[in-house]
Amino acid sequence: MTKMKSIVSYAVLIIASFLSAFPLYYMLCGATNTSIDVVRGRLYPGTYLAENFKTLVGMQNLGLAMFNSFRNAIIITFVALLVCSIAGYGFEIYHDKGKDILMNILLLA
Amino acid sequence: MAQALLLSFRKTGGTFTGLSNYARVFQDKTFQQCLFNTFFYFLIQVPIMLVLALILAQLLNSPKIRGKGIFRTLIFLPCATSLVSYSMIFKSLFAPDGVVNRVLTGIGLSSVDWFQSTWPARWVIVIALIWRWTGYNMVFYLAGLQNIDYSVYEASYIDGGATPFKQFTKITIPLLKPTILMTAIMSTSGTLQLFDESMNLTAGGPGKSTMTLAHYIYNISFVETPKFNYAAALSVCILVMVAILSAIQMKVGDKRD
Repeated sequence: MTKMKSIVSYAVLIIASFLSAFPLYYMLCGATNTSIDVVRGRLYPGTYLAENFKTLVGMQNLGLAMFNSFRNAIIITFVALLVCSIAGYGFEIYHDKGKDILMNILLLA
Repeated sequence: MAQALLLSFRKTGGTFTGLSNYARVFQDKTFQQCLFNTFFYFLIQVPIMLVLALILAQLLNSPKIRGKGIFRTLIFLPCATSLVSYSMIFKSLFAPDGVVNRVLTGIGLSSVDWFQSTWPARWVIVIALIWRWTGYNMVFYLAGLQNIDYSVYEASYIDGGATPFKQFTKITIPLLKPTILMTAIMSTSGTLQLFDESMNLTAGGPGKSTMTLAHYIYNISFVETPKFNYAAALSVCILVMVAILSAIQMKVGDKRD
């Protein structure tokens, strides 16, 4: 691969990564600044993380929400992996016309 | 699903009324607007996203790039965000005095009123979708690319003097067909049923100009006085559309050997 090509490749990758990651960096800045600064569009992280966090915990039951999310995610991932591996294996090894139709209907849902 | 089908044949109150709900669907102006919006997102966003993902995967697959892990992680990161939180971020980024407009005025173009005009609002949704799902599809293509033996490329170069472009079109794409088919079907089905962005980012857009079909169904069912039967009819319509498009894509792409 020529030097020129590799420079172009790196440039494209860097631009894509920057564009992908920028909104998340922006979110980080927003989390650590006061509301006024965020509305004005400040782009550097500040020092208000602890205060913002206290406000958040005061307004919502954060612990319960996180527990719910974790519980759902773990259980769903586990069960989905289990069921889908076996189902996929079954659909592929014992392949026939009827199972094809069934799989298409499942995909539609 | 079967029950939804049954629901769609009745009027509110339970009386069986045949296909009148479907006739109403065809005359509904809002439905036509949402149909246009949804298909606009579908036709513009899916090709751009899949092509971008393919290019990025191809770049990341080359053995001469260093730091592949970092690039891969950064590009995949948007998929890990929650839909509601990223809608909030994009709303604030595209606000009249947000970062995007500041960059635009910085380089000399005029700032765009992203959420108050119909077409810019639609482009915000397209951009948001591309941002979020390119990394996801890129990972699929990377996995598919890594299954292709490097010796195939070497053979084509030595035996046939194939240029990189020819290698890409005649070797890579045919070998990636199953993966491309899978991502195309998933993206089609996902984009046609788009709901979260329309609800959270633009709340339907100025007037109804960015509302998607699913958002419209939600409004009918839960926001206005519920007309579940009509909503069920609409849902069946979406199902039929997705089924037809998927069937077309499978006919074009699938081979079972």
